[in-house]
Amino acid sequence: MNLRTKQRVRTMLQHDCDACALFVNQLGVDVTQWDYVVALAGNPNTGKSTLFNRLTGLKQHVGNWPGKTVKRAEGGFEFNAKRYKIVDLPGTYSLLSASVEEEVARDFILFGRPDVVVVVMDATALERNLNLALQILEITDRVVIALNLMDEAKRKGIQIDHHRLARELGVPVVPIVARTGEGISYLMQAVEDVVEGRVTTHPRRVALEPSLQKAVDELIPHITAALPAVPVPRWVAIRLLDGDPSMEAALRTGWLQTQWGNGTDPAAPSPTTEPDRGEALWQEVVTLRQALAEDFRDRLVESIYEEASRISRAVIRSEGSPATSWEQRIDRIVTHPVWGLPIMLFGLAVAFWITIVGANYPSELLARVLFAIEERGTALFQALGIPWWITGFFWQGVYRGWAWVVSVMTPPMAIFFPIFTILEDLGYLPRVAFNLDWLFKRVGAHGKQALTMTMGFGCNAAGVISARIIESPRERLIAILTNNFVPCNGRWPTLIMLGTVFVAASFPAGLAAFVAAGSVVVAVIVGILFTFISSWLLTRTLLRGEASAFTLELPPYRRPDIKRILYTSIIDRTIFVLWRAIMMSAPAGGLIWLLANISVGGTSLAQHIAGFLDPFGRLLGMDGVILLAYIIAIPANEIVVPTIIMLYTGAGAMVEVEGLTALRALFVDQAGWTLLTAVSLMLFAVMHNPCSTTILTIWKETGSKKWAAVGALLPLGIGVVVTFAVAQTWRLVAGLM
Amino acid sequence: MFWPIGLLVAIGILALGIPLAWRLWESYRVRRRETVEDALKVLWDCVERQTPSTPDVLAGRLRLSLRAAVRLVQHMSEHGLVRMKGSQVRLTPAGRALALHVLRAHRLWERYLSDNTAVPLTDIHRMADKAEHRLTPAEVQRLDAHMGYPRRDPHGDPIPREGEEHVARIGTPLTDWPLGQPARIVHIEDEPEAMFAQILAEGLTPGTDVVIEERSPEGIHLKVEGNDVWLAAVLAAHIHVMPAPQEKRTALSAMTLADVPAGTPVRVVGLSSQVKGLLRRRLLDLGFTRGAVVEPVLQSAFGRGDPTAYRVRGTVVALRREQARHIYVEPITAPNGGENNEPADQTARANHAPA
Repeated sequence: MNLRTKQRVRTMLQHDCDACALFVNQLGVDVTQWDYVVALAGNPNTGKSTLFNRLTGLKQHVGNWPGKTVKRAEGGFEFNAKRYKIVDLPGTYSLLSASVEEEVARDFILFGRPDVVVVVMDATALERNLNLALQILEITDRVVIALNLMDEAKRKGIQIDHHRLARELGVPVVPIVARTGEGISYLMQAVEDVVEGRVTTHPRRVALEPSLQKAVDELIPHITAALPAVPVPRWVAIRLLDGDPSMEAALRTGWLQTQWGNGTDPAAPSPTTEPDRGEALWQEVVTLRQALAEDFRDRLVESIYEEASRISRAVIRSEGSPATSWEQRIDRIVTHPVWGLPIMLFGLAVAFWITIVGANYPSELLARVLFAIEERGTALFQALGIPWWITGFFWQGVYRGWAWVVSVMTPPMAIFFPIFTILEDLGYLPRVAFNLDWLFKRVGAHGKQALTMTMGFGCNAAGVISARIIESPRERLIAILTNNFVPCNGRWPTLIMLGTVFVAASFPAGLAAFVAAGSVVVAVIVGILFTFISSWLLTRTLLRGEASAFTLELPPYRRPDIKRILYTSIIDRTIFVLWRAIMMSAPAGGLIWLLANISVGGTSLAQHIAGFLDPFGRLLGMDGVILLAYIIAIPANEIVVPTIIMLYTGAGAMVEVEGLTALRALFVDQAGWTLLTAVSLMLFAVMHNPCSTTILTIWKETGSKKWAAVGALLPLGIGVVVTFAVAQTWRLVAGLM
Repeated sequence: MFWPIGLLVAIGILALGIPLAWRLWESYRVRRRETVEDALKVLWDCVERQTPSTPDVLAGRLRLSLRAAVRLVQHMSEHGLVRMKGSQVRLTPAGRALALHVLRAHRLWERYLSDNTAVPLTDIHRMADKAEHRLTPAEVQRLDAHMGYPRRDPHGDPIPREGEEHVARIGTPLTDWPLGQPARIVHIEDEPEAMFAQILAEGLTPGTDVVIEERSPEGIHLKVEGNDVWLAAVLAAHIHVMPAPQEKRTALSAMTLADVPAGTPVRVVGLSSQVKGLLRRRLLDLGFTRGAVVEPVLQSAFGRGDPTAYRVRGTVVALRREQARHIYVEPITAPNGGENNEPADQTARANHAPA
């Protein structure tokens, strides 16, 4: 059915109530007023976001949960003239481990009071998904199960009796295929039935281990006494006995009492008596906990899984083959001792090639347009008789810095990020992490760091954010702190320019191209080498005591949802990173212009500072101008080379020199660069402090100024040491020869 | 001519010197407070073990000269922490309260480090020795609540409660345990440090299940989670054990997930007690619980099987070897066996039978 026919059918059936249920009206972010709130929960990789996008129509509001670095997506849709707000909860395996994601998901189900929780389950891994579903059924009655990926299950020969599953769980179960939209309207009908109270649910509660059951039974009367409005006393009892730190804090600070203390009005607790009652309840918890079996936590998870496995055995009519043969064959090939590595390198090379080639033209076009605007703008200002320094500061300073960053950064990111996300959704990237884990394990890091590093080639700030895929705290910190050792696309131009102008120029013409490429590769390899060295150092020093837990799920191969990927990678990554970079680069552009144009005693401020920095620069094999450029370019590495050229030529604004011979002439003849200068600069380009966007991102992601400082100073320190050592050795050897 | 330089130098000396002197004075006071607290711990220990507590015992344990020890006792009694009774130094109620605080801080901090961080067990004693002096009573209270009011520290020493005085040490020394009886380690003496490290190096921690195979005056021969361990008698005396809980004896089965060849499904018997905190919860959440059927499906070619991917409950999860080594498994005997542990117990018993 094509789109127009669909539209016509929809208008035709608008008033027929049975049929209009078949259409979900996507509202996007327009959720100012809603009748019901739906929370979407589920394991990672179950197609939760696909369902979310299917319902909201790709228009969503993405932000972080308050105070947490967990993605929060919200959207809205309309169904049967009722408006729904939908909140996508983070994907988790459980609600018991108290990781940040689990806390966010749990708190929303418990205190966000959604009218219904839709649990998205992967039909091909029912047992594992039931673990989370059973836990959610403990917390709330209003649950609808969306049994997703039915097409994949069918392909694998898995048959599920979903009527039986609904009877077992006591809540509606709707089989769907989120990617094609199959079954969505039935799902919504079930959601509506639950929120409007047409269907009463009787969720299954898991039988507990005896010592725990006894303690829970004893605790429940105390809980209902202290918290009369508590909807799920049994669950609160289990969590308190389990020593869940956030539940405990909520009870002891009196926060739980404000939520559930008063049966009629949760906003008006009696503040004087309630916390005392909480303390009494707490003492009861402490006493009861003494009687629990030592390993009751293990037993709790065991009993949930036992139930999950019983249910899944009861409802699965045909097991199918665990993995289709082509999947296994692909796995064999991509993790093959001989083929695995070439395939990976080839894939990476192709991704880079597409990025570089594809970005070339749009980048140029963008630059041409943006700089044309600058010309027009300058002309306009001059025509209006605005003083030269305002024109200069605004157009040649602020605007040019901004335009430079936008034109250099946007196209590669807009191409690289979607490619990366496609590989991720395809299921290939976890295999890369699996292949390379042995290497990362030696330095105390996680195999997934290979992925965050690859992301770093695009942009270090995005690389830092992508470290969220590493669940283990220590390994995640390592990935964040060392990401800057891989050069981002803002630093590639510097490396390529230096490789071509200097290193290659010292070799015969026939070899030049190879040497140029080779020198860039060597610089990158040096960076990767230092990633490993610093990871190793961090594991043994600063991060020695951080907790660590390696697990790596290898999801089945799946066809990526291209439309969603294009949308989310452009919104989530490109726009986000670009926005921060723009915020940083515009003021930097202004500063550069001021430094170059304010003169004291006949020389510009920039020349003064460069002169002052010169001795330090020489020690590191570079000079004062280069150091100054790096200091000003902290907001954006893209403008290092233009700033250097500006300072050497004495121009009043950042400029580019056309042609390599002219560039070489400027650097060698005028500024006195040697091969050592070029080599030191290449090393320093790979190893120096991250740009301010990345530092800010590290701070946000780790929530700690200390780690942001470490992330900034570690690469800088190593860069200074390495360039110093290279320069001194070079001079020593040159002096001896 | 040189007076500005002289002035600068003078200012410099003052600017550096005054804070330095202040720091020295501060660190002297902190050190003295720490010595007092250490002395209180020693005295507490003497009460627990019912050994004499004279100033020269203090001098020996704290590595002080006798004169310094006497001065210390004097200082402490001036502050009402101890009083002399004959030649014995006795804790006053105030001294006992402070000693209790320091001890609780020490053992709770050890518990925290061992459960919530990756600090090796050999280091936690030293780190807790520093932390015990820094933690305030309120912080200790919060830590206690946060850790769920644990009863024992990671070596199995009791964590005393306010109000209850001395908790008895539990367990029988390993040297007195009968042959062939499954036992669980409940306490390992953490001093001297070298011996403790040696015991840990053999893979023995509180919570580990062991069986004594053979005993001689020099030492004992143990079966520990499938491995053979020989332990010198001096070391064995540092280990206290209790009867192993019935259902956990299966953990003595010889096979771990790391030993399973690719393509062979096995059933999980339990997780080693050495898997703690975050990792334990993650493994359980992913479905590596008792009774789960697990099959190695893919081995990393580059790491020679490290990591290996396992099919568990319909999903594929990769684990590293050091994690797989802590998951105990048994061969699947019945093709559609449920969750009962009968076959597991039999295998375990078969393994313990003398060859």
